[in-house]
Amino acid sequence: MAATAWGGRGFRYSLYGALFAAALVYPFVFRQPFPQDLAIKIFLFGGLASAWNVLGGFTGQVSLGNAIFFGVGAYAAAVVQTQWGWTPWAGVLLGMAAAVGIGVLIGYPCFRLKGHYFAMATLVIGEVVSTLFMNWKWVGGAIGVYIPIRDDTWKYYQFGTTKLPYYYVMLAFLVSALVLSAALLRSRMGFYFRAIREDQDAARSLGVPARRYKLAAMGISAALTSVGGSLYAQYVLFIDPHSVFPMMLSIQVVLIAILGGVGTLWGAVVGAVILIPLSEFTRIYIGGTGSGLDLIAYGLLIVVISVIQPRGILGFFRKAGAA
Amino acid sequence: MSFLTVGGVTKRFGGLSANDDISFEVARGEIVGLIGPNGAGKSTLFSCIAGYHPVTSGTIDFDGKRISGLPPEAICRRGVARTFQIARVFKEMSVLENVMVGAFLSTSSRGEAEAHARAVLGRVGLSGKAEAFARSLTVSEQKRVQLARALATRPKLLLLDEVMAGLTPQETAEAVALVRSFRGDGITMVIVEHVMEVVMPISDRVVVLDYGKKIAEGAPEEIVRNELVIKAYLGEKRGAKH
Ligand SMILES: Nc1ncnc2c1ncn2[C@@H]1O[C@H](COP(=O)(O)OP(=O)(O)OP(=O)(O)O)[C@@H](O)[C@H]1O
Ligand SMILES: [Mg+2]
Repeated sequence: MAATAWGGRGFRYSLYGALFAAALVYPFVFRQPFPQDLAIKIFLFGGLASAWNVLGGFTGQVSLGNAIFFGVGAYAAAVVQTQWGWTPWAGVLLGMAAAVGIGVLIGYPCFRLKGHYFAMATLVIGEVVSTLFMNWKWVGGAIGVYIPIRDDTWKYYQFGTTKLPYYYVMLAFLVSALVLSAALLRSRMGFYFRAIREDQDAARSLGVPARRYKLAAMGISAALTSVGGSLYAQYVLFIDPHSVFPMMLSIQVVLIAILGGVGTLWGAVVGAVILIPLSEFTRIYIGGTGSGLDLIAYGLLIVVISVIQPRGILGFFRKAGAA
Repeated sequence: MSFLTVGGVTKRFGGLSANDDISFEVARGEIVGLIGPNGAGKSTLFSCIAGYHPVTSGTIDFDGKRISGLPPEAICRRGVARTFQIARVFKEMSVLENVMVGAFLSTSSRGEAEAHARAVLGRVGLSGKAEAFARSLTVSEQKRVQLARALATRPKLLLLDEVMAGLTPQETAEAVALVRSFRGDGITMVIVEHVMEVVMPISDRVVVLDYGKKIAEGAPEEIVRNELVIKAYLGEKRGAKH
């Protein structure tokens, strides 16, 4: 692709291979819970930011409501267990389907709105959905849902004695998001997404059914985000509207993608590798959750990056367009 | 038999009639020049034909079917491609990728789209810029990207809005030869240009707009002698452009 400065394909693939191998052995080098937990969060947020990027980065439709899909996935995984005794894996699928449905419902009217208005609409809808869950008794209302604790099991995807399964499953989530994004970028759909982002009217004049493709981007983004939510629910085993529908999560995934490089393949990973440890450490050393100091640190970093390199960190590696 | 039929098209913006009851026909394979002073409504008419603006009243038929009322993407799928007067390229995509977006209309294969896009780029003389970001090109190069992009959709009717404005005489000559060559592909064209020395020789017929109305239509030789046209252009000294 024109936008990479790292020459040969061979070099790129060996780099990916090395990264992947490092990720595979990491939990055997860092055996403590903290570094493993940190990596799991990086994978989760890398995947979520990557999912956001399909809609916000490739297609240019900035959603500030992706927590909706995260929460839907989390609740789907939890509620199928507490209400019906199903495996959470069925909840993963159900969550994806529900997220796609909700995404299309939101997208259909909201894609008529341009730019900032779309972002604002998704932000507001996110808050509305959160409030709905607060008041929905069947899913636990404001109290939330405790997933019943079991012995280590793949069927119910719970492991009390080791983090390794969570680690590898979350890694698989991130890798799937990246592989999907890479495949998208190379396909007609990816070209259409980017054309819509660049100039929707010009794209339509070339036969691109913009609405349909934006809905597709929304569906892909929603489904992926929902999977992240389901996996998160199984990792923490307790969810409530505050923990899985926070506006902060919607904003965090955007910040991660922006910091790394909007619309790029690896930006979400780069952003997560920087921001997640930053927020974890500020939380530990400066103040507890909710003090907002981690957010101030985020904000500062974003300001600094946008001043020196508006295209995000990956922008430093981008070939300047030939003059 | 008429290929494109513009039937009494009116387009109002608030109180202003940018197009006022315009009717004309274009036959298959024809090159029709669409001229008129600044603000006459030429670009607006293109936008109506291409579905970018809904018409206020009137109808547009193409290849035997009604196209007015369809969205732009559907009209492009029917075989109508247009360029924008002010180039609208996909800035953060490479020139090749820009043209591939057009090429993807007729194939979902990336390889085929790329091959077709490269062929079209060669034809418009932009092969050397294929990998450059579209934003890094000059205005006249961006116009050629737009042309290539439109051409890559394999159109039957091409609407060209001032693709030659701002070119050097040498470039203009090349562009004229290029546009003529499209005819060999069986592409019907409507061409908006301000430079009479350009439009008149390549047009089979010329349609003249002024203040949103069609004031004349005919062979180029007739148009240059037409009283109303001369008045619209010269009498009021409004023809100068750029
Ligand atoms: N979107 C719009 N909203 C309101 N008025 C418009 C719009 N587009 C065009 N107009 C007006 O309609 C009239 C016709 O404009 P148009 O651009 O079609 O003229 P034109 O013949 O292409 O002129 P030029 O030679 O300068 O390109 C002008 O008075 C213009 O100001
Ligand atoms: Mg015009």
